[in-house]
Amino acid sequence: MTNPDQRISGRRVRCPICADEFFWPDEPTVSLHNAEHDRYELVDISALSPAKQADLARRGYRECPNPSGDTSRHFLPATYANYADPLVVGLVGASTSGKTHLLTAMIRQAYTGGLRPYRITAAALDFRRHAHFRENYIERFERGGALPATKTGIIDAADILLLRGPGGERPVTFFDVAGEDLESPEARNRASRFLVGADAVIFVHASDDPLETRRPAAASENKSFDLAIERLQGIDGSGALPATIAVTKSDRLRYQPPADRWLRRGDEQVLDAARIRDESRDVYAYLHHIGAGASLRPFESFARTTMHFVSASGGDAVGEAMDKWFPRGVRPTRVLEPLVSILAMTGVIPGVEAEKVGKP
Amino acid sequence: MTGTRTQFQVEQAVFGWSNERPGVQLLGYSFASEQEAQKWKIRLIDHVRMLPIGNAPVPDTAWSYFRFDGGTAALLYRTVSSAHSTGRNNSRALIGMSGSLTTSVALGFALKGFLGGGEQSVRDGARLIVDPETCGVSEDPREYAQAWWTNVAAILARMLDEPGRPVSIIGCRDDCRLMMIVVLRAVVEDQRLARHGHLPFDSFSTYEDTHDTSVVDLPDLVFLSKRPSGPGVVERVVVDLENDTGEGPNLDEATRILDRFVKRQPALDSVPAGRAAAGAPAGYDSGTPWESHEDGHANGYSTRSGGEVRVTNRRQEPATQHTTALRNAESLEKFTTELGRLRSLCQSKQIRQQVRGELDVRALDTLAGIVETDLVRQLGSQVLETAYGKSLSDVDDGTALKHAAEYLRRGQSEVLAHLLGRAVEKRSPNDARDAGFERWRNDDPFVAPNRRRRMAPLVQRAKRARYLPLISVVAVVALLAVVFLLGVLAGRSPATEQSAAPAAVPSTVPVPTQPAVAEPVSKSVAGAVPAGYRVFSFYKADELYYPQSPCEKAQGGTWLCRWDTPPAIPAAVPVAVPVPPGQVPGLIDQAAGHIGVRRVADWGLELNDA
Repeated sequence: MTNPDQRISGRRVRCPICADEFFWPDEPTVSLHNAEHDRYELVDISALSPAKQADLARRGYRECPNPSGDTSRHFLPATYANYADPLVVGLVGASTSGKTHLLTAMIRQAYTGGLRPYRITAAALDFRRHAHFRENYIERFERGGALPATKTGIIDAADILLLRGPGGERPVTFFDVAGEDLESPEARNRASRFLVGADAVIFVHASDDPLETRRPAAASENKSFDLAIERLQGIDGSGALPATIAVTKSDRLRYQPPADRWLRRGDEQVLDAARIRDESRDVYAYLHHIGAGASLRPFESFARTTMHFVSASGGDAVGEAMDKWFPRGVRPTRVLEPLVSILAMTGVIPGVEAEKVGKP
Repeated sequence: MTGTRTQFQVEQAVFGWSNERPGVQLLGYSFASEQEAQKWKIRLIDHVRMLPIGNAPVPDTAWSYFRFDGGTAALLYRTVSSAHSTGRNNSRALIGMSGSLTTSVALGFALKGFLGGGEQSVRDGARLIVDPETCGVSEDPREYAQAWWTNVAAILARMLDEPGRPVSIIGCRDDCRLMMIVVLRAVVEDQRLARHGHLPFDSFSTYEDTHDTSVVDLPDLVFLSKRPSGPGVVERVVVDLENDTGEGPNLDEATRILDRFVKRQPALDSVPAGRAAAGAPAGYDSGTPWESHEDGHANGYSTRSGGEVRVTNRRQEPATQHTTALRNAESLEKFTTELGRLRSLCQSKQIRQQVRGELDVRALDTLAGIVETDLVRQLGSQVLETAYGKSLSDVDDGTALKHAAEYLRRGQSEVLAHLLGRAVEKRSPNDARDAGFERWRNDDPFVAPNRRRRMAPLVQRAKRARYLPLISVVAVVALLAVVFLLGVLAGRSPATEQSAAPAAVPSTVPVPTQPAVAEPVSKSVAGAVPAGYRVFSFYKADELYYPQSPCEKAQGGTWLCRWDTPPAIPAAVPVAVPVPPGQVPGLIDQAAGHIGVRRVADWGLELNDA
């Protein structure tokens, strides 16, 4: 376990936002955000007491040097490099597949103690970023409002959490970009660049409502999956990348086997690799049955893959276009299962059982 | 320079939700090629979504106007009325050349709501014909400026705090935003704030949900419903009209600017640009009013220079901020205005350094090309129109024709001869042919060696010595001098002069060639000197002022002045006059050349002996 007070200075860090690697400088300065003027101010904290230094560092930022010079100015939490082995998790899926709803429900559940059975607690590492995520997504979600589409062209991370557990303290950066960006073959599209630095990927497949999609059958291609997989496979060691497939909007399948069985179980309380394998088997069968073979590509492409039925909201939103809401509020179901699998496969949840997760 | 504005065509594109390819897609367009459509899809797709900020409502419609490289522009109309869901709204874009689809036309379009419907015509591949005359902004911005006095003054004050930065406005009512853009653009133009580095707000958006540096091509002036809480870096002037009255060192100046605008008074050249000007007269006097000074942090932490302020990299070409307008100037007036603005800015060594960084060899060559070809021709046309009337119509008259033919025979300027030759040829081909032949004969270097262009060998030598950039600079400076000299000859209308020529530059006239030989005179003067003004000594003769040198401020409100070289006019008397500080470098130049100038409206009253 890493001691947060022990500064790991001069270590090589990969910025989750621009995906550049650089040596984290050992300087007694942090950038503090001045809310009044909405800008970062570099301050020298060397003259302050250690306690104050630690406090400011926890709330402060450090500007990424972005050696490639290909990204606008961006800042990382000043303590980002204090923790070994940061984790970058990206969500991949088509437009309206439910990525944002899943991520919102997932982070909300993690905050409400949903990872406690695994002895993991979640806190914000980047306070400003989390406040933004909370204001724009979690609060709206909790009020029962449907979430807006994700803006295209966004290259920034959605949230950066600090997970504390038996595997140590690990910063976890979540990326949620627009489905259109993930499906764009445009080489200059930078929104999906997070894939370069991703340590794990959650592939999101929505169980379609034919009335919504106006298509009787599943698409023969999953463009966002295909492009992401091809790009990931171009990176060394990507075969070992943990991946999980989340079948979102599974509440539409709540009366259909095999989804009904899993949805009724609710959130799991223990890590059980065999059970995860069973669920993966059922999801595979379901996707294969409905002709969504294209969405099974991650299973064939990565060595460790799990599959889950999830429901972020518990039902479909109703209402007019710009004012959709969930009439019975939100009832997330099994939204943490994909994250738990990822955490097990990346060592955040350690142990023998965790090592079996996602393996055949 | 530009003729009557005529109708022009613009391309159209429609964005919206697609069930066939789930997502917000380009649904229809009028482009001839799919490749062109894809190019515009990539440029605009990231700007089409209307997303809320927190729980603040999203307006029903929004207008955005963008300018892109290559002289193109797009006006985007977004509406949520038929959206698939939040952020998956429909949008319609008009795309054309920025010279036709100008900011003013775009604003006129938006204010008149011309894009309320008609998506079907776009899907059918129809271009739209735009009549710019019907798209003008008919409302008087002064009335709105008066009505919104507090808000406009607050925005101006914040602009003065950080000149040159793009602006984000929070808390402006949806239905007031377009007119607020009109008002701000009018103030900047009327009070010539661009000369002090302020943006002319050529691009705008009435609604954005983020305004940090990660947004590519974000317009210069945008409106937000509330301050976004995102972690991005904001490098803009942010004015929250609900909480910000503009209180600070520049509010008084902002109020004065607004007052002059509302009263239709011309710009004062003393508009300070930034904290240095308002709060640190010493820095202003030293000619570095635009340098940013880092303040110590109030919390007891030392703020390191460079940590807070960095020039925006929002634009794709951050290195072309100062000289872009100059290089894109399409007319002589625009070029001279921009050059004047740039010269004013370049009193700061730091800005000059940035300008040099922008003007590499290629960029300087571009400028030289504009000067040596386009502008010279435009100037030549003006000179000839002065002598021969509009479109050289006087050449129809026999006497004027003879006069013109005589120039064709013996005139030194190839440009004038070429321009005049076409007019003569139309009226009398025989005269044109004869004159042309004689000119050609005279052009024999052995017959008329002085006919050779004086610049040509210089350029050739410079090319050999690889000093072309230096020569280009010389050419720019030389042209500027010619512009000043020809300004009077060209006889531009007062309206043109007011809108195009920098007020800071006193008009110059030919002067007695030799200054008189006399002993220098020194004495102290005193009187009313407006805040921020400098006192300059002149010899005054008839209507002309012959600049001498800047006076030194002495104790007790007096100024110590010196008069060195009186003109060769017996009645010349030494006077001292308060002048805006921006005019001092020009006056020093004119003093060196013994050039007389006319009095400028914003000079102060002559001072008396102390």
